[in-house]
Amino acid sequence: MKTLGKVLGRQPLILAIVPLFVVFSVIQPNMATAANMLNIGIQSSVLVIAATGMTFVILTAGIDLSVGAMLFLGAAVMTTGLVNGPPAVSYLLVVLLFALVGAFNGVAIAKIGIPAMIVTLATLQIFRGAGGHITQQRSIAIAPTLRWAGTGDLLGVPAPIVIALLVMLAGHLVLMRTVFGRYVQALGSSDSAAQNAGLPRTAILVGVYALEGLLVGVAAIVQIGRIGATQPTVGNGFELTVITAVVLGGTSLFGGRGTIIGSALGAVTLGLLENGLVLTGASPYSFDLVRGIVLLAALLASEQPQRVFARFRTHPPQAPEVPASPHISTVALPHP
Amino acid sequence: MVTATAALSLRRLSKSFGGVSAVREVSFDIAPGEVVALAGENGAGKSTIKNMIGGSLKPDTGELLVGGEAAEPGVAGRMGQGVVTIHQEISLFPDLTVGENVMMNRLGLGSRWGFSRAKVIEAARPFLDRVGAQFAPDRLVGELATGESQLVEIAKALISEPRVLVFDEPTASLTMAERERVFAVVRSLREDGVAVLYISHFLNEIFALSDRVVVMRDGGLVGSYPTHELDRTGLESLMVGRELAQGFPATTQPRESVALSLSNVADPNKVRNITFAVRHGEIFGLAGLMGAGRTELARAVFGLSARTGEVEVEGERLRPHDPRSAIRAGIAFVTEDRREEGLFLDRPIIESLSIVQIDRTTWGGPVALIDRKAERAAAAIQAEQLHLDARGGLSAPGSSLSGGNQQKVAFGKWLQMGPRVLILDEPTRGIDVGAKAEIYRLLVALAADGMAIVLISSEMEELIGLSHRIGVMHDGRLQGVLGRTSFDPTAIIRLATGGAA
Repeated sequence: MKTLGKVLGRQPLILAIVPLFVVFSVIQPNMATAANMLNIGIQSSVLVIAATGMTFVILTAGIDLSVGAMLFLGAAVMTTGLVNGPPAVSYLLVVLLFALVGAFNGVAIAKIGIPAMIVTLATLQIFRGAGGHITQQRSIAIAPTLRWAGTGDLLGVPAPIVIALLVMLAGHLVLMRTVFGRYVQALGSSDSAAQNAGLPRTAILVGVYALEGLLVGVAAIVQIGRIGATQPTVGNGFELTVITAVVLGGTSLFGGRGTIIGSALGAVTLGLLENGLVLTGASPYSFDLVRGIVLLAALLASEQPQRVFARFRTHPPQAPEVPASPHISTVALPHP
Repeated sequence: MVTATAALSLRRLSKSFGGVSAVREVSFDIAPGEVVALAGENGAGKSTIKNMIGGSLKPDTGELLVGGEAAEPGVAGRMGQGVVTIHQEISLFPDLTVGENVMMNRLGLGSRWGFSRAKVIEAARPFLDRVGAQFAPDRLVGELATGESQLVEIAKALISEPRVLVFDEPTASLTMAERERVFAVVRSLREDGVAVLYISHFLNEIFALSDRVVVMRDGGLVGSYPTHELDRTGLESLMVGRELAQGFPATTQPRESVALSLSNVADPNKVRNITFAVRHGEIFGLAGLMGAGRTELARAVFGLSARTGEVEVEGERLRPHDPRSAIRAGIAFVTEDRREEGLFLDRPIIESLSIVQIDRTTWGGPVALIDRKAERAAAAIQAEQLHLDARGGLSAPGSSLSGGNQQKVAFGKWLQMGPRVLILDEPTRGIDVGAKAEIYRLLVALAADGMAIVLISSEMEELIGLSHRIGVMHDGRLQGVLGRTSFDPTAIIRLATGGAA
């Protein structure tokens, strides 16, 4: 009970996902089949991948509005044969290219000091324009060899799900266990305290936006593999869906607080909603409406679960009592 | 004190947060025309009392009476009854005029046609006159000095014709002259029969202003004493609950070798051609009035702002405008604004303590994994050394700490790297006497260990008690440097106001 309380206290979104799934399953029995659950996983995968990158961005109190346009540009690059070669090489080139594209956002934000929202508002239009120019706004089918990331599988598990899980786990480890991840959270928590502690601000910001670009590259590979062709509408409004998933997952837009797992759950919630609405025959026009309502409801409820589950939570672990050792301290403080 | 005539009565007020008791059964009265000082260490419960009086916190149990009647709930309800709080953080709109800020709650002035800036500014004039404001009501608040803004804040409180006025550390960031102005306003309010609750860490102010002192400790009431029956030592021991060691710890002799040297350091705005050197083991005090450029100098030396001129640590030249270079060379800087710059309020305390050293792994740089066990152990040692009072544990966010303990974290995060030069900007501002004494002892111990310390402080006693030499700044320049034999408050003031040594 304690463990469950702890998990729910950290990821209250599970409280929304489970009943949502049950309600849809009652209305439409096809919902709870294994095939459909895999379907939800595949549908959420692109969002999980992009949301992982966006979580890093938002943790620094930044924002990236250009991810939808980047996804389109990625699809354009993939389908027009700008990167040619064996699938693995093409994939790698696209991913590296988009790490550079993201780094461009990061340099403009960190070095020139323009707010992230303005920089990425500009690059949104640049990227979408470039994609439109490359494709001449046509619908272009992708080479069948490049579709593995969207349609293939690994030991029977669909490739999008495998990729999304790997990205999520790697993102979680980077955020929670590495120096870079710690820097990201510190910078988002207080820019001035980060500067006082001598953190490499520019490198952190460029790194974060490059990581986001890289992951949008991965998302583009999966997405274009799934749908099989570039269309001028690819990635339209995607940035807002990604931000919704991240915020739904409990990451603060003011930076400093948030988790990758939360964002992934946010993405799955949105995937589940869409899937359930389709299966229950709801009007496609209702999707945005429902998404908006869910986001508001989640923000309203976000205070409550913490209170409810506070009593399940164990007390924060006390720091272990360790005898003072001379190699760590420089001075022994006199006792008063 | 007769209850019927009290402007404000607290009756056995208690308040706890998440099971932790902040205030227990506190009762006292304030009569009209009386100035009552509220004294106590950080964490004694003063802020909770202030917020319950002001209406932003609801007591768990107990009763509040305003002029003998039950207090109306909420801040607006209290204001309607004439209970107004002047907060420590100035809450003005910098892009609006002084007059608009003063009249913020009456912008319509009851006129049918609504807002007229000229009329509003005119209406604000009598309130500004009453606080002795020397600036025009049509100036933008953003252009005012801190002390002037504080007067605007007081004038704003006066428009609701207060019966009870609560001052929370009104002089914390004011110059001497500005403080005197605030004192004069408090005294004139007393003449007019306003009941004043004055919360301050400056014991001098408490003795200069108050009729009575209410002392709190650990959430409880220690007692209420006529001010003239107390002396400084007596009040301090009431606040701390024990006798404090008198004076400052003895300092050791500095070494011969130079740790930090500045030559012709200037910044684009304020600091002009500063040259001095600090030896290992030396505490170099930096005195000056508000705005003399001491903070700006420290920020330029540490690399948080641009500079010209040379800064060297043990002969190694620092790159300008690069805190990383300064830290690598061994400079640590404890800034004045500890909440914003000293620690990460919404991150676990452990992370604030480890942030400076977290990248010191032998491989991998930023992609290196953090050894969380070692991090936790090191943080535990630091907390122990600092006598950190972290009631929620070290995994709790920094915001859970009291001000004095936040200061210890802002300080303690540097100790692990073994700095050779330590710059502190007002390290004891706003912290209680007990924590102050600990910081003094710590500084002296660090200096004895060979660390060079630059101590910026506005408390004269502190500078004189701790420093080997005192540099006095005026208008961006180093006006003079005094050796220990020539320490003298009047000499320091003369230099600080632009006079010659």
